[in-house]
Amino acid sequence: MWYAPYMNKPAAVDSFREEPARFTAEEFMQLATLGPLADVPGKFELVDGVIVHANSALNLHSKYQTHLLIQLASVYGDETPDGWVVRVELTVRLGDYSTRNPDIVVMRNPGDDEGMGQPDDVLLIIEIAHTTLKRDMGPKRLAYAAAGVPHYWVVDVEGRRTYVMADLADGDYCLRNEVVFGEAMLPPGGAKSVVVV
Amino acid sequence: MNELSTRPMIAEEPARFSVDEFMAMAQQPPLSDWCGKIELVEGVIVRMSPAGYPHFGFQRDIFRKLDRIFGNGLDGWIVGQELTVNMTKPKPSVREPDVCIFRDPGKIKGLVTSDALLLAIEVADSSRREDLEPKRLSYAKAGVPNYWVVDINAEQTHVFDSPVKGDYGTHDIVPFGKLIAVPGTSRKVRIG
Repeated sequence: MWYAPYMNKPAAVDSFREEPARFTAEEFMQLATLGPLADVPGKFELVDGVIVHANSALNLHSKYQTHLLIQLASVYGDETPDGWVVRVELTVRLGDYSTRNPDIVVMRNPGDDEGMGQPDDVLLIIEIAHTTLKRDMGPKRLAYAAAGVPHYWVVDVEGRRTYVMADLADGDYCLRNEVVFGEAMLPPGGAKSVVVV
Repeated sequence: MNELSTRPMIAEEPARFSVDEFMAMAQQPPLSDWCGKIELVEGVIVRMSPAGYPHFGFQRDIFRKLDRIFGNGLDGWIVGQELTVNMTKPKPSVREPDVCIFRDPGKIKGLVTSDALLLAIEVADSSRREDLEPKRLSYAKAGVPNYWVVDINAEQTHVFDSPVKGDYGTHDIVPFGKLIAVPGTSRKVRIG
């Protein structure tokens, strides 16, 4: 899916391209933490084995991320051993060939584990979509669903609404609600609501 | 969700690395543990398939024939196998032609650059499409004056030369067993 832009390049004489090398999630983490990739500027994600640059987050994106983070920290975030905790841009292993750094993750407290987040521990992933709504609602939605992430929210900054997805079946979310900014949303398992304004 | 259809899809591109970043990564795990070669194609790490025995045999045969011509340092040319070459353009790219003839760079540190190449040869077994299309353009854009693709399965050699505007101006197909002129000399070799 990711290599589609190659095929659109008009000047391409080549109907055929050399494929980028594919890495496993473990190889990628080895590169990212020990190898020279750790020194390369920027953040990276692994999409179907291919290392891609994670987008830089600009102010508007960061504003909503922080806004939600503060509210969610008061909903979860008790840091008890089996409790739910909130993490920002944690690298989550989605499969043998994929890792993502979601904007916000609510997960079972991993304590002082040094590795990636494991999908089985994840309760909720939130992506703030400013320029990337289609990707967040398309390939990322399917990747999170395939990894078994039970709840997925996409905050659509431009459309001023949050897409709330749940009820996994057959690799996709059956429940998809749109909650406009200003309306309360109950996070899964949470005791109180959050509001995006 | 119909609003979604009006938004742009920003595709995710493979991460691009510099030659120095690539060389540093290539020297430690996991890349140093990989079977087969890796190359850098306009910043993207690309994996080559491991070579089977026919590939080895052809590569060795061509190397030996060319080395017999250039082996004593004729006009300062050296025949190399799997030399790591820093392509001067399109940057950043690193290639390892199966066999090449290049100008002796003297005591340099680091990589030979593509402007030292007189001839690059790729032996194509399963890699025929890579060699004939993207690699052809890669060598042509870098201005490598001569490029051969030895197509084992079709029993013929593609001979490209005269790079102009990012591609080769001439393309001959020489069946195995026929003579091919070796650039830089008046000698000829027979492949296959």
